[in-house]
Amino acid sequence: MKSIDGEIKYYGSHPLHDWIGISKTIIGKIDYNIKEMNANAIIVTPLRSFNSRVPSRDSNMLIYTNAIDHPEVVFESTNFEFAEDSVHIYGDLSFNGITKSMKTSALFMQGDNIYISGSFFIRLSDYEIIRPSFMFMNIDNSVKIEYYFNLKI
Amino acid sequence: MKNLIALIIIMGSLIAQPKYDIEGEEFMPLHTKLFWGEKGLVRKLNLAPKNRKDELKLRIKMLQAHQRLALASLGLVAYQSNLGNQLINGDYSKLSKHKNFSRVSWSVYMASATLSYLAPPALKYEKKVSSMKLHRWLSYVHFSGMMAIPFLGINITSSSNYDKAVKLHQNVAYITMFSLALSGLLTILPY
Repeated sequence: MKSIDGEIKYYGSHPLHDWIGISKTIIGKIDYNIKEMNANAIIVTPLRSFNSRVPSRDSNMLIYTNAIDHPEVVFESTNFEFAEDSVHIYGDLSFNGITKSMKTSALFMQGDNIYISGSFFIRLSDYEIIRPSFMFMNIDNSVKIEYYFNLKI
Repeated sequence: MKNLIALIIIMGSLIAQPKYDIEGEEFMPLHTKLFWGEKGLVRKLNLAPKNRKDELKLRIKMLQAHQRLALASLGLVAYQSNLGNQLINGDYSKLSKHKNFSRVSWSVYMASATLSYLAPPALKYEKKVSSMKLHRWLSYVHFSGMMAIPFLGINITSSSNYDKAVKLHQNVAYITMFSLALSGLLTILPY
């Protein structure tokens, strides 16, 4: 497992305002076989590495996501389906001690490096995350996750 | 492979535990340090929750209650301001109401302030200025105002210069109310 060049963002939403939390701390292992066009991946991101530019909000996020007991989000792939310039990635996402299978479609570009970018949605309730409330209103249950990875061949 | 994932998660938990010290602890507000720092009063008196997790749950509960009471106190202070203006305009029938209501609004405000000032520390602090940091700085303004207002009100009856005493009380009340409203507004901003 080693550090991966890339970025993962989450988009939080509340009736009063929206925000983005960004992490550039990604560790993992991605094996890609160019000839056989298959791959497998493990991606790990510490929750503490997400920065939404407001420390108190980041602190609250760590509390609500039980980061003390489950400090990282982990993705492990189960299957890759490559198309011309895209890839469908299937795998298991572990968050708050709960693992759910998921699928994401990503842009896939190969040159001197391999560039993968895509997004998917999660529902906080699926991972038993209690949604924080502010001014008597909860944040949205649906959270968009965007990612990109720049991998050296 | 599932065993590997489980190992990563377990290792992460074990390695991460020391990090649940506070990030940016040097930027923790002074009042939080005094009560919840390593040698803080709450810890010295053995009143702190058993573990950091329970502390954080307490923090959430206290700050949620602070939000609700702060909104209520803003409304009460605005109403008090209205009563005060009616007095200034000559409607002295409001005097008893203004005096009695001051106790309610002051009590609700102080309860809200206590919940905020005494809440356990967050997991992360930074040097940079954010809307929440401005919210905290403004609290020093309206807290000082709320402490002064009752004395300034009493001063009106004993002062040799009635108009000056009323003006001082009114101005401090306006500054307090304005800073309280601005403080509330800042919490809505995303940054």
